[in-house]
Amino acid sequence: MYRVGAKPYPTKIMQEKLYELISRGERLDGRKPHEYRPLEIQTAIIEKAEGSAAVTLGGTKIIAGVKTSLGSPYPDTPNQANIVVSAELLPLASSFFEPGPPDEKAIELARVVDRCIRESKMLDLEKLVYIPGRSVLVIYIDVYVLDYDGNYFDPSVLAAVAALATCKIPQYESRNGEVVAVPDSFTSLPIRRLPVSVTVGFLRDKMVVDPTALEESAIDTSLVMGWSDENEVAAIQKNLPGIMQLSLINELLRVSREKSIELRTKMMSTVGRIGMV
Amino acid sequence: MEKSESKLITEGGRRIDGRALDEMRPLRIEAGVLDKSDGSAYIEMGKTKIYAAVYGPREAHPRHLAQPHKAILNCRYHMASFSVEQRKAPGMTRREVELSKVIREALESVVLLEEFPRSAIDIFIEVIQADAGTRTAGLDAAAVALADAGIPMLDLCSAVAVGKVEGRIVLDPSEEEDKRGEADMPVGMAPRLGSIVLLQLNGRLSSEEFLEALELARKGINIIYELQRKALSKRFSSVVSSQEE
Amino acid sequence: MTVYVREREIVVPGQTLSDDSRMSGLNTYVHQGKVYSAVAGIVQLKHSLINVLPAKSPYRPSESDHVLGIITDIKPSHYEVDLGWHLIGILKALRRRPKMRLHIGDVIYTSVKHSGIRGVFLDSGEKLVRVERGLLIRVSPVKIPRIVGKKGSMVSLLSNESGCRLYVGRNGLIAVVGPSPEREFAVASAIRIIDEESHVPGLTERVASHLRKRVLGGEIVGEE
Repeated sequence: MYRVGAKPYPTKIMQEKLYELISRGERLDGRKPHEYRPLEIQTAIIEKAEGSAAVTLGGTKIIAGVKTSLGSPYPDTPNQANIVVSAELLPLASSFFEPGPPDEKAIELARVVDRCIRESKMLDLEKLVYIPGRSVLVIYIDVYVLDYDGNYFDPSVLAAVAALATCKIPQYESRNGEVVAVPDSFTSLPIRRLPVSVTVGFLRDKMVVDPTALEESAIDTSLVMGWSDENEVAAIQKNLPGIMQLSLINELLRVSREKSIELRTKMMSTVGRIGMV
Repeated sequence: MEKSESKLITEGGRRIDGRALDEMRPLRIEAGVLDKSDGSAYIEMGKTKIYAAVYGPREAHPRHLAQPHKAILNCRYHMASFSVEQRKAPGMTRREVELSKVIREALESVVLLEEFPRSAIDIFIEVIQADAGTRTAGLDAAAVALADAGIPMLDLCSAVAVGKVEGRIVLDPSEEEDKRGEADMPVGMAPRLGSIVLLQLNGRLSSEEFLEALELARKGINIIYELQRKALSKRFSSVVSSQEE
Repeated sequence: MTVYVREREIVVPGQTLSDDSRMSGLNTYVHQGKVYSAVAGIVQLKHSLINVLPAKSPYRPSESDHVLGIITDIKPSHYEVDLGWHLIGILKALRRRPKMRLHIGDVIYTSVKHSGIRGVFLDSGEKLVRVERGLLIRVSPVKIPRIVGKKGSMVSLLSNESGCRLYVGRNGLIAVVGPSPEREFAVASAIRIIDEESHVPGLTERVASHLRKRVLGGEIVGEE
């Protein structure tokens, strides 16, 4: 959006310009249609959090933190730890984000990040049960969008996963019906795999990967695909109004899978080859 | 098992983190750190880490709150859930509402609001890690963010907290000192004008202690002011000059 | 009469500039006879005034300024034009331009007729142009004089070397309309050079050679 004032509306000449470019296979920032912006992942940036990560993808910056505590399991999953994901689109990040409780976009973001982590079975939640049916680890993942230039999904998933992957929790043991933390003893979370997500924008018969805010104002719609590993899709979210053409599905799958491998490789160079046998 | 309460200040006048009574924690201020906002800043004071961003002047929302002769200032001080030892639930607590107010009022003393009638200037302070001194550090960052945005002000605002710990007045208390000390007093000033723009007290001080604390705060404020200046000057090392027409 | 600062010194809000109140220039204020800086910026001494030039500044409309704006609302008797920040320009119904139809999202170029407590009023006469297509670029208003240049020398250079038409708004918006996206991008990158390197000597020559390189052959040579 060319944000000149407070209202989020696209200008006609920029919409035309973007379409002209995308149909020639070019983008405003010089990228190719299937190219990601420069990606940077930093972990352990918040000492008070058990796990944390900051991810910068072009002009979009996300900070995620993991806090844990002991709690009761949910009644329908008595032998599993709990994951609680929340997200906020901070008003610092964009003139279009208003202060206040999470709106539908923030809630959607939280739920998509949650699905990527939960459905991919990234964490072995059964290993974090200390007294079955009574005391489990509760894992809070809080995601904050700090600076926004399009595509908050992919860096949010990366930040949440990187924070979990580098998390240090107390070693708990159960003694006489009570769960206590072993002093000065820490351990990592039991991780099976590292999910990532890939966001693709659609403009008629064209696809652009990792759209900027300006591109988001011109495209027809966009789709987020979460990959638990190289072959399994764990979450899908079509997240903008507008249509995507059925004929693009094969290309979408191919490009999305290829990009997911790229992102996972990048993440592993920061957090380590976790979950890879 | 009894928790042994170690002394916060040793015989030699050193604090548990090794600082002297009048010493600040390691400090860092940077301007222009975020892309989308009109002005921004980042501050670290010990383990406290805070981002500040400014949007404006822009349209006031809701419009009926706009003033015909000046801008209105909005300020939101907010802490990330993971910023504190015990996770803080999302949403604004009463403490955050109070701190938003006192920070806003401090900045209202210096921003030249009459330059932008019918508009709003929005200031957002996000604490991503809290280790005492967040409201004063937040004010320090907000002042730099406003200057980064080119919003005219009478002066910067520079702020620091002072505390009373085991009977001694100390500068820039850490979280431990804040929790276990006898008093905590955040002080904010417009340094060039010599005016106080933020002042609160939690705890008890005698009149002499209060004056001593204020003097010590001024010392810290001078240090902060220099760092704010450096942060803003750095923005210009690559930018400059002329408006040759 | 003392001046406490040198040319090109970096100052911050509240810093003392002079004790002669007559020297109060751009972005300064007077208090008890002394002149202080109101912004963080660079000192400029010009015509016995002390000006402070910040890196960024909100735009303050002035009569006869050319501005670029976006139509955001259509009211019974006027259009509302977003000029940036909190500034909504009023464009009265186009009685003198009956053939012009404006829609929400359209970019227009015109001049400021009057700016005061009642609002910012824009010229809806002959000077009003709708920019049909092109690339929209946003820079801080403080950079606009450098992009225009002495007597328009820089903007002419940009236009001549690229074959593009430029609409430069004092409010920091620039529309670049050219025969091809490559040429428009060439101008956009040249503007970025001016934005970031206006202080480095030899700017004009650098901009000219940059444009020639990029425009030769009509291809985007690539980001440098």
